[in-house]
Amino acid sequence: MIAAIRHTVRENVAQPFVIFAIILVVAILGLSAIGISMKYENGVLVAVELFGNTVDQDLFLVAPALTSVFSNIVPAMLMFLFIIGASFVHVGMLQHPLTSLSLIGPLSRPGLFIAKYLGVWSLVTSVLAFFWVLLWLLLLIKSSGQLGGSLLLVPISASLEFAVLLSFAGLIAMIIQNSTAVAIISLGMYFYVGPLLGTATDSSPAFVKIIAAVFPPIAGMWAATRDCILGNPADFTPFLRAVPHTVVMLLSALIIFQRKDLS
Amino acid sequence: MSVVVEARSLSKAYRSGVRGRPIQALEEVSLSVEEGEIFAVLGLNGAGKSTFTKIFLDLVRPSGGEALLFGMPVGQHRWKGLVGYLPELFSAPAFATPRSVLRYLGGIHGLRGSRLNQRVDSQLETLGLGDVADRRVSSLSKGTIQRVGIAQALLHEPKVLFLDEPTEGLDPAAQRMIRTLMKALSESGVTIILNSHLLSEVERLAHRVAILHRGRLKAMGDLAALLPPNQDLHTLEEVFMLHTSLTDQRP
Repeated sequence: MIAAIRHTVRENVAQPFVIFAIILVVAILGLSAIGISMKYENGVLVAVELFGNTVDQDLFLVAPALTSVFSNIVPAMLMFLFIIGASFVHVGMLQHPLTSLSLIGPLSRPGLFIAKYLGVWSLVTSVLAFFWVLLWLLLLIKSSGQLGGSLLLVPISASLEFAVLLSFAGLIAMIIQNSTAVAIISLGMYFYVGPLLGTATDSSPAFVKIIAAVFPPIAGMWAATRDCILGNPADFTPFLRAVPHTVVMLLSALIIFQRKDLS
Repeated sequence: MSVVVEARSLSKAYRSGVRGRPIQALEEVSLSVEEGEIFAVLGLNGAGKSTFTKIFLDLVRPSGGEALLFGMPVGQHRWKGLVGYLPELFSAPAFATPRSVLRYLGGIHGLRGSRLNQRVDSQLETLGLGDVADRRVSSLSKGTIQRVGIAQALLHEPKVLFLDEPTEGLDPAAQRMIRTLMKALSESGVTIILNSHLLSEVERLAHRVAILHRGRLKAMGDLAALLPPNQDLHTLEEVFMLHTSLTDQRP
């Protein structure tokens, strides 16, 4: 299984979704390193320079714009790329010639499926950790130790989010076997259905609450990641609530894979 | 000699779509192959040869009947590690090299450390891949990739080999080398199930032949049995044409 995990990492490290993600994080880190300077006095932000120009407007306007970029746009762009990548992994496994050769060895079908899952998950987690840890270091240096605190929790939170999404994409892949359709459904789930279901409250109609319970709590997980970026106290219970969803989705995908005829 | 591969009334129907009519790929096929035999499965495209092989590799589930390897049902997986497989049109990821493909599949088969290195080097040498061992698969010719496929099938020293068109894309010298290799493997007790369209190759190699047509076993036996002297059949090609209903196309 270790060999299959290693192979999955190697197979995906040069895929466009990883390359684009790395280009994106390197660009953000580079621009942040070169373009942003912060000045603190007695722990209070008193001046911000963007590419050598002192920001004249009220800092109360600049700071939210910058934090919005880091807390919403950057994680959303990364997750967009990772979901597209995830959509191709399990469909690719069904069609790849090395799959049949792997399965005639002692590796079982569930073993191969889990190896693909763990391989992609560990690759994405590595990219997330690389980005957020370096950003944390950068902000720590630039703000003379004032910023950065909970950023170290972001790779954990974001990789757990991705673990849930990957199991969802894996299940859909086993059902429809079309990478493009899996990508569209998974992106719709993450960016539209999940946040929409997250608006369900105790006073929502019963059927809305039932549907919201069937799907993983994506809005809650997203909020936890955002709170980690913003340095707010984060609620990690949505990740615990997503464990049964993830297990059920993975088991269902495994059962379907186990029964499938392979080419 | 013990029976290694056995099909008992083996059937497979594929269903296309939810309401699609089932397509019968194999129908009540029964046969057995003994240890050390080279057994050729012949048939036109779509005759069920690949389905037959894939059922024995547990890649395709039979709709009926039983597939046994070493006397055990295929689904029990006790055969894993004892079987080698060369799929038709073998391919590998473009980023990989022959060495990395062999190392990966060797790892899957439980080979580790110096044993893995030794087996990989030995297969690269046997198949004449030493010079291209570290070149990307995307830069290799079709014939060289096919040799990588054969090398991976032999890597873990299997007891049974399922070879789907093993000499496809190879030049005459490489074809001859593969035939010699197959004969040597058979003599050392390895059972070979050979799917091939090259009837001359089958005539030279196979101990016994099975002819499938539209999923049914139409004929089986050694060449002497398939070419009875009292009938007007002189070559395997004529027998093949007869059983696949193409006699009218004979010159």
